[in-house]
Amino acid sequence: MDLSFQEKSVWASLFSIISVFGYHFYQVFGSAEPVTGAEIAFRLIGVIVVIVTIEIVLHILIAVTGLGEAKDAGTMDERDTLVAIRAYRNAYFVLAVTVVLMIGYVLGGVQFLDPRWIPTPAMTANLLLLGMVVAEITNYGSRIFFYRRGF
Amino acid sequence: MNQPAMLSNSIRRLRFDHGEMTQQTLAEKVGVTRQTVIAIEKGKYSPSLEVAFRIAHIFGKPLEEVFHYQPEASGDSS
Repeated sequence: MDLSFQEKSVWASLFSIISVFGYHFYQVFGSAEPVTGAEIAFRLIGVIVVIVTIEIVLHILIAVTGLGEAKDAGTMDERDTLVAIRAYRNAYFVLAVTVVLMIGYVLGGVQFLDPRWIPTPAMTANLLLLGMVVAEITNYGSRIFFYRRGF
Repeated sequence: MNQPAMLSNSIRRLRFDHGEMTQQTLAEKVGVTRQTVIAIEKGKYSPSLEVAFRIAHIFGKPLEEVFHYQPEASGDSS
């Protein structure tokens, strides 16, 4: 499988976001006790640090093993640009659906559900973050689909 | 919905006819990545007009000898 630097970068970003945020949301939504806003803020700082570190390490590995393709690191040719545009369109749609669902969630009232799902600021923030993460996964997944299948 | 590419090309044959030019060399001359050249040769990507003209110019051929348009079969022959 012959991958360009840009495509390898997408795979690396997809891996890091799924692994790190997957663990984060498992901790948050799997917790028996509601997580406070301060805990969320603390966790998010850690998440950002871990993601940035993983991305740096993976991209260094990609550059070192890329056999000269690292020179393409900062550039996107027309195919890369088109792939990105189409992928962002898919991600935007997912993000828009997330916003609509969140409006319903905040205004609709979920008291009849598990008390952990009452729209507290911390829960609302985490659900919004989840929507953004899903949109970003859609972006990366779409790019990989277009790179592999063509268009 | 993505439409299947109706463009085919003779780039692979032309590369071999021009001193067995590699995909990397062609990519550098055109200004795209090697993987983009691969995608074009396999019909997975239809290049822009500018890139298509650049490729044809590199091989010294008219555009129609490098890229071939194959319209879908229909009842209308016009």
